[in-house]
Amino acid sequence: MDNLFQNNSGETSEHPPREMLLLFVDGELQAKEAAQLEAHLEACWPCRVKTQKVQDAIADIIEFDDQVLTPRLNPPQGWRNFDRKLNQLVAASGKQPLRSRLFGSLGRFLPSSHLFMLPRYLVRSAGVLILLALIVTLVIRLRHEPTVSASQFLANAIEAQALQTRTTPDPVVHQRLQVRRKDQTRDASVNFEIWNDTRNSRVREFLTDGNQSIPIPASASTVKDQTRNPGGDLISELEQVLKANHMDPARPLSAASYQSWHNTLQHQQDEVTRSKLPGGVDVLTLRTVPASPVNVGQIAEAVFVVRAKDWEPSELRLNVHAETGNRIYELTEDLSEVLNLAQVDPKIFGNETIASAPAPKASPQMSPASSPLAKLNPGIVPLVTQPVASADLEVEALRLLNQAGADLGEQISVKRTSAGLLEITGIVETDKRKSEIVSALAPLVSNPSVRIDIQTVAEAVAKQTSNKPTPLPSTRAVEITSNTMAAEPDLRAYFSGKGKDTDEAIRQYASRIVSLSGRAMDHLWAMKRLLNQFSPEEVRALTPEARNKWISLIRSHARSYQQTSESLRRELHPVFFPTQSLGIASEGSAITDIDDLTHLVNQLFELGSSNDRVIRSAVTSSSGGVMTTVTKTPQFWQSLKNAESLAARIAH
Amino acid sequence: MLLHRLRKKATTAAAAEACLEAELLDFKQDTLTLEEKVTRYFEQWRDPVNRYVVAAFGDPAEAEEITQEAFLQLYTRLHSGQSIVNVRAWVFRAAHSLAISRIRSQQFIELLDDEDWEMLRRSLVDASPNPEQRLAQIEKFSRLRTAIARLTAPERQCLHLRTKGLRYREIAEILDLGTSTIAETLYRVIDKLTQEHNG
Repeated sequence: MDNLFQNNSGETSEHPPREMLLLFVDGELQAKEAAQLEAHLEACWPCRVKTQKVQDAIADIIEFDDQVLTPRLNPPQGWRNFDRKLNQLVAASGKQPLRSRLFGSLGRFLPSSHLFMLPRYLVRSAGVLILLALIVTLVIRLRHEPTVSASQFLANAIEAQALQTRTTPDPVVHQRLQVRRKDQTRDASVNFEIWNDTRNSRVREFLTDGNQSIPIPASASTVKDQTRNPGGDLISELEQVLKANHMDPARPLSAASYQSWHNTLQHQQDEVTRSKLPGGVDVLTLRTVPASPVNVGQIAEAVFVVRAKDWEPSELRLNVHAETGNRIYELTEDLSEVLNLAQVDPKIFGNETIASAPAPKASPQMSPASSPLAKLNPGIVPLVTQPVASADLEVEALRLLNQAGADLGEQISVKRTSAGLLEITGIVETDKRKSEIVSALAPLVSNPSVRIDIQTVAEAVAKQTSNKPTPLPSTRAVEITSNTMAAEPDLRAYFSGKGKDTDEAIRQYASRIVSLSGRAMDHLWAMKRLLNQFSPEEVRALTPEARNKWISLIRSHARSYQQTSESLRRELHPVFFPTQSLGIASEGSAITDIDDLTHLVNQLFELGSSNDRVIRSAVTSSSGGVMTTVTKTPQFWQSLKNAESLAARIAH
Repeated sequence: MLLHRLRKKATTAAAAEACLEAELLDFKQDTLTLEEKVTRYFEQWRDPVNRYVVAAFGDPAEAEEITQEAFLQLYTRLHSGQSIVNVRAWVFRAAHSLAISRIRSQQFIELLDDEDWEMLRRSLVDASPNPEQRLAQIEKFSRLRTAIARLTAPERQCLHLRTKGLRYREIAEILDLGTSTIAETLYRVIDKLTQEHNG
């Protein structure tokens, strides 16, 4: 009997049933059956040929899948919203309960789900593994408090620092730091303080050396000549190290500065640990090591320490690769406070000579007598740091907002002021959205030429009561009234007899159409705003990198418009254009210059807006039968396709 | 030769499965937060899941939403401490269920209508270094396109899940069918496509 095969009907045969050949090819037979079939195939030519045919069919399917289907199945939005949605879910879900984490980990090892039946030996092995893993997990959990991811660590620390400045009117960040430098030959240290008037983008630095406080000019590289203070060498050296690693010399001990460096790493190892300082203060430590070898002057390892209770930075340690061995720079915070500008002595930021103590008027953490500025050298005038935002920086801000999906109709504006500041202002609906946008803009937070003011509607309303009226965010109001829409007869004819509530089906369909058309318009408006953000002369003056970035943003919106419009046409097709072919957009010739791009975007905007008006008139209002007639015409179908072709050409 | 290839294929498949399991075990270590784990799962399997939903149900815009929703459900499930043995199959199942509830009521839209196909055919011809071979290939693709378009919904779902590398028992769980039904369906698919292939 071992040489006979049984088919589904229970009949036996010397040849295996054809279904069995597919199971064999797919590795789905039990070992004994597979061995029996394999022995048969070695002897039986006809069965081998049949098996080969099955293999050939599979090969054809895979080839078709790879070359025809897969290239056409990319997601229209490019997954752009997933991170935001997951972050929202994480925030809404809160911290994972310990029970869930323990049993979740355990559960993921246990074959308790009914999904698949695992072999017995696997179950036994898994049992042993579970016990071991449980023991290891418990030991690890007892030894280490649970911490957060590196990205969450930095996001929390950035938000904590941003919160301080947001809640203080006209904030001035004042930090007093100790800097130590160690290498094989010598150790050196210096104390200095930074006053950062974030609203007016003014930064003042002072060396504090014993009883003296010495203003540091805007460029620390000249401090040595001006002050003859050896501490100037160290500050100058530190400034160069920070700049070389994309960190912020104006706020060296800040999460935003750390993230700015962290973002430049392609691969790195991050480790977050929790511990206690000798004084009993709980701290969280982020240690980052680049995965690739670093060059001279680059950071080989960085450690950033924040207080666990409020995420305030307390220490930064940079291990910098040098030609003569590594150098370590340690920045320790002695004092950090955020003051109202009115509380700060005007002489600190003014051009007057500071001859006596500035004596901040209302700083609970710092008494006038303790201020190092009380002993400033007379006769030295601090230079005003007045950075100017470039158009390149403006493009970068637009890119960051695009990444956060904040350029699709939210009330957010980016503009450069006559004073040279880059102002990013906006009103958003929720605190969460505000956090997301502020977090996305983190690389710019510490830039003295950037001012970010994102408010929630509630904050804007509260402000409105005390200040002049602030325009509230505009919302798209769409009213679907199925009993008045112009296209109702067509929709009713299509949906009646489809086996469900016709009115409900019409309402859902109309809602879907309007939503898709609105999404397409969001992309057109985004393109239009990007285009109007700069004059043609300004675009030509951008660096090639910034110009490419700007063009890429426009192209990405063109691509999204094209894909959304295609989805819209697929929806319209069975109802209004059953006899038309769906077709796909042709790209046409590539864009040659900025003028060409401008012309095409304007053309697309006009055409797309016109299409949107037709669609809305057909399914949202009682404007009569004119628009629904237009909606059904081959010309309108072609107009939709033309818009997609234009978009394809821009995106090309 | 055929037997040798089959043995090799089986070995490769086993190795791939072992890699996948090793990767899963790696994810199970507590070196990553749950958010990071879900993000990794998402990056690894979003495209196959999305392609399955589009190919089987035919709505690219909705498929992207559904795929993301499936991974968000994964996060919620794991966050609550519930167990999942095979995350990949679980996500496919979640996406399939979402697609059933959101898309099935609508008409399936064929991915390649005649005009699309004609343009694609032209682009394939243009890209060909060997016109004769290319024409034969296009002819083959054309027959496959026709055959796949004629498959029933369950057949289409089985086929596209199998092309994404899912095993019979996984497909059975995703579609809520028996393993033997999956085997029969897949054989029927192969049979139909072979018949079409042979004219």
